[in-house]
Amino acid sequence: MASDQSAITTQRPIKRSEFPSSVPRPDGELEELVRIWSPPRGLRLISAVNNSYIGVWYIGASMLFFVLAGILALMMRAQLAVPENRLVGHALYNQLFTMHGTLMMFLFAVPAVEAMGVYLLPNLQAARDLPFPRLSAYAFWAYFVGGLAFFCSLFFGLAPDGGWFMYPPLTSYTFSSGINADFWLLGIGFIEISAIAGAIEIIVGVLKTRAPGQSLDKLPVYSWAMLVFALMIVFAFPAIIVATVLLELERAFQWPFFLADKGGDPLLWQHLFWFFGHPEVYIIFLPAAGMVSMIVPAMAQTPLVAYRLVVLAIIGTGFLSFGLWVHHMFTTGLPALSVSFFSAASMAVSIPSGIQVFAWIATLASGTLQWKTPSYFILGFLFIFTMGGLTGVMVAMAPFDWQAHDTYFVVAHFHYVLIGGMVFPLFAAFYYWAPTISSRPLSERLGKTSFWLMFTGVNVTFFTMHLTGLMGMPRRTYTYIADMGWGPLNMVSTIGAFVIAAGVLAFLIDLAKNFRPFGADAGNPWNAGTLEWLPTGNYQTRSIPIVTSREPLWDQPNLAADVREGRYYLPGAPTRSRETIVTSPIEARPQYLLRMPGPSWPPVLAALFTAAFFFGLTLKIYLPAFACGTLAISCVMWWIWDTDPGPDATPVDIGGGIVLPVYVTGPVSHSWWAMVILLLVAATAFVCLLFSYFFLWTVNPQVWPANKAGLPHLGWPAASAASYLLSSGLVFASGKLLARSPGRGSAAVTLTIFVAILLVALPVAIEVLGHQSVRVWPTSTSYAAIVYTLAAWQGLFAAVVILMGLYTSARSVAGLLSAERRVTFDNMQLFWHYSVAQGLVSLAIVHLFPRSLW
Amino acid sequence: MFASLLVWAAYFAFVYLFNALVCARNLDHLQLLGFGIVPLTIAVVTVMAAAFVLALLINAVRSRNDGNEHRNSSSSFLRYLTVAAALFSILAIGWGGLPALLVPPCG
Repeated sequence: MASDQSAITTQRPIKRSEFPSSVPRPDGELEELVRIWSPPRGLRLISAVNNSYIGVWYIGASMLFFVLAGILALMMRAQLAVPENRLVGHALYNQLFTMHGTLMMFLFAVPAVEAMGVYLLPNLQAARDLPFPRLSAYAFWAYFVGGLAFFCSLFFGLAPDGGWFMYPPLTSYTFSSGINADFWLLGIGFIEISAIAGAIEIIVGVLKTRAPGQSLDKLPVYSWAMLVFALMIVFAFPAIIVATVLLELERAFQWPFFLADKGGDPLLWQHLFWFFGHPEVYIIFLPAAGMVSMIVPAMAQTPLVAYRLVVLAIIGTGFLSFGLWVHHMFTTGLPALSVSFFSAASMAVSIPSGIQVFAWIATLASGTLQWKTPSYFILGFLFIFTMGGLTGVMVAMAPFDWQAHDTYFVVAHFHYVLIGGMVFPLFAAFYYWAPTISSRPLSERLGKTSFWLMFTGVNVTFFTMHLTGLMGMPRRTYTYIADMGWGPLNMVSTIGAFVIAAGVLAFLIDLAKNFRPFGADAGNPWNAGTLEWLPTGNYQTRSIPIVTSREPLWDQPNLAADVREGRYYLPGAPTRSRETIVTSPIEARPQYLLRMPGPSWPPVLAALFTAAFFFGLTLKIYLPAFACGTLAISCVMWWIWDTDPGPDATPVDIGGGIVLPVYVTGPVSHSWWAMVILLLVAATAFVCLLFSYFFLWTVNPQVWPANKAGLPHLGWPAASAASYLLSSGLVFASGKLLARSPGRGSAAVTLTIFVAILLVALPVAIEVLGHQSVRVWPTSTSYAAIVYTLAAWQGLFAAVVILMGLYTSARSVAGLLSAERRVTFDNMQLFWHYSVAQGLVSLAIVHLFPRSLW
Repeated sequence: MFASLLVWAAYFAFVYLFNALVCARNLDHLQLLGFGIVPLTIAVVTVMAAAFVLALLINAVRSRNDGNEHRNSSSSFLRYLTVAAALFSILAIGWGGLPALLVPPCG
């Protein structure tokens, strides 16, 4: 593979004699690189997949939803400005606050930070693109189209109205019989898919597509933050997926998970929701903190103080944030000691947050600050976020929370945290990084105007809300009587909200006047030291540099010119297609050359049909919905058909004597990593289902089978287990057969997979029939509902396994599967064995746990 | 590298679920060796978890002096993270277990 990688691990600047590629470069090399990476023209631009375009569109879409959610906030503030106002009725007001929170959290905050990652990470790591460009495109289009359709539900009075956290029983079928709640439950579905797709892209991107030499100790803090952010999505989002599935099953089919009279418990929703919801706060904050850690050193012209501690703080925050969810449930009557554990963890998480804040302050103090717009937004962030952090410590103390819960004090707290911790860093980032994509930087005058309006507005609006809350004003009420004395404070908050809006308007005017993307960039106006400030085109950098420090542009003299002249790795496109270097996860040593797709329609179409599928389900037009679902799956198949090209090209010299293969299989492959991360998502969702099973048993053990009359005979699960094990064994055997089939597919492999497909589907039917044999029906009790859900969940995995098996067989028949060309098979095999393991655990718990209680 | 933080996660999950189960089944009156079952169990588990993380920390510190002269910057960086994460985990475990000595389990 790599023949000479000694230059990559050096800690000193590269000498002229050590450059991997000689100059002058051959005529036409740069022109070919530009041609290969050129975006399509006209309407075909929609099919662009590379990160420059998708990233900027993604950011633009998230800002659109920010503005829309802000307009909803202004409508609410107008309603609350004076007592007993009749501007907005209570029904619309309920939809407004639900949509405001949902849009801000699901359609602005998470997509915005993910979008920034899609745009910035390849730049920061000198990769030509992220490893799965079409996945990014799919994630963007599913989010954008679905998000717009979701927003439009407001115009038909169909928007969800149960609050952005959708607590049952209010949102179950008894009290919310319309389809408003379904819009939330199914509408959020595509956003979850989009977020998880983006997270997989980002994890593999950070770990596998870096500049040679950019080892973990030289990784930009932003990349660390995005890595932790994406991993948090992997472990947090499955909880909300499971929660929405359970509530939708209850609403659509009356399976009682949250109904107390049938053994359910509404607190199950709260546990699942906040197991996602609290990490969500840090999912939003950590990328923003990562941006701050990049902007502060550049604006202060000095390296970040305590880099290693800041990295530790990011990782520590990621872990601890999963131990905080109950602090949203302090008033639900949980045991005192349980509450105390979460109170303690809530205080402990202030340590890593504090480490970062002090590191930024120390960096600012040790350098010379450039008083430009990004610096203003950073200083505003430090002030507002610290204020939010302080009130956070207050509400982390249970006795205080009991008083402040569901009042405007809490509203003030989380707006300080979210606006301070995410919105201000994001605006700092817009002003800071705009010159990397726009031919003109944004205006200093309009930027500072925007900052002062937003900073003033935020403090006027939300500081006042602390007082309104302490005076007892509850959240989510559409009006109040004058005698309460809340009128003047509310009027001040409303004025402040419109001042914030004026600040955002100034920013939008600045964008309209100065933001000119996709042409030449505006250079490096801040004299920043990291790789995104190298001269770039749609192909990112002309050549891929060797990184020897955390601020290469400060430490490697003439780096920008050397990269532009093509002195480093991969100065052209040796495979005559889009490509990027895949590196090892720790040391960032080149491992292989990944050939990448160009403009592509299938991800766009798959996204459109995915959104249509979910909205068809919401509107209960099932036939068109399933047609769209089928089309979405077909588009995905079309898209992935050419993703396993096989070893059809010779190894490539990328410069410096390093010759890389263009096709690999197994754990080195980026594809293997993506599949493993997907399985982590699946496993987390399954654990959440098991948690639901045991939670329901804990609160209502009387609905669990008390004797063998309530459980299927052990012969049923034994037959299922045997079928599962046999299917896994056959897949394992077909892998061995494939290894003996060099150069072409094998009929024996195809046949074995077909038999294995039958065996993996059979246990789902056996499980359902087994429960029916003892007259257990899913609508009867929470026990029955959860065991049928586990069976249905396994059915879903069986369906995916069947699809994967048929797809792999089709590739075998088409001659696209062989001993050497086996990434498709390996991925199928991983998913297959996982599904079987999940099925066996499910069987063991459903059939053995109740027996262990007798 | 992050084994200590995983220990914290496992510890936290255990103490929360254990206390929840004891309270749900009204078992908080049970005693062992004259101590309530909840504070005693949590104290023992806290000490065990902290001791395990301490062992991870000592192992990471010792690996610094194992005679390997070819260590590069990323391995020393990862060792630093291991040690610092272990220290933070011990703090989080000790702090998390403290309420068991002060607060009634199911009050």
